[in-house]
Amino acid sequence: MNQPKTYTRSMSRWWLRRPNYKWYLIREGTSVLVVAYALFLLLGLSRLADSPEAFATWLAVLQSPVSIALHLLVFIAFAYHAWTWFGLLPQTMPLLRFRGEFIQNRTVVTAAIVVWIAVSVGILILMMRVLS
Amino acid sequence: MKPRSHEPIVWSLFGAGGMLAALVGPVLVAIIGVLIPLGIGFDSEALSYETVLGLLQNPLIGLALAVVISLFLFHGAHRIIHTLHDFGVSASTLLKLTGYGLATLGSVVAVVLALGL
Repeated sequence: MNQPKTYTRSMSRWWLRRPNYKWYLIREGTSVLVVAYALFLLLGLSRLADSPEAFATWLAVLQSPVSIALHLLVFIAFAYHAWTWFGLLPQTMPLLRFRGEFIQNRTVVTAAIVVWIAVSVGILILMMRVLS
Repeated sequence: MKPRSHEPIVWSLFGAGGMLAALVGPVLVAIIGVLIPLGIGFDSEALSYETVLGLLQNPLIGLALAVVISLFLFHGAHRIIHTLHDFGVSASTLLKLTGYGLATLGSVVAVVLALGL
């Protein structure tokens, strides 16, 4: 059989071709750290269910400098996820109307980020009270 | 009849997980992983066994933690499955069963552990 030789563009290292591809991949990559953090919390929960000694080991890991550095990285990943998540809301949510007028995309994103900051400050204050 | 797609279910779990991860993720990681260990705004010994056990023995707080773990897992599973497509790995039934299956398993373990404290 004679196969026609059609040109197929290589897909190798496609993420380096445009800055947006790289940012897309970083956004999707945050989900790996979201899973890792869920598993870390699940591990802590299982250590807590096990014994005080087992939970103390998990707490000792949290206190280590390596853990603090990794948590800073995970924090940046979560914050980038949040920023892009709220930025995409106008594309992922149904259109909202107020008094017959469509709400502007910019308003939706700004409102979501305001809610994000309010929820974060609320949780911070609540945890400071509960854990003091 | 065309078989019904499972996509709305997994997309809802992905969306709920993404929203939860965006709203509470950064502040939780900052408090538990950075602020408490460094003693900033908190006592660095704030997360003692007795305190954490006492809090999580409240079934509402225990379930809330299990929901956070579960939805984070479903969010990540969905995103990872669909991003693998861009690396030439198709979102096959086997890959989906594995990904969502592991997320379900993790969710069950989290709920059982949280309610058994």
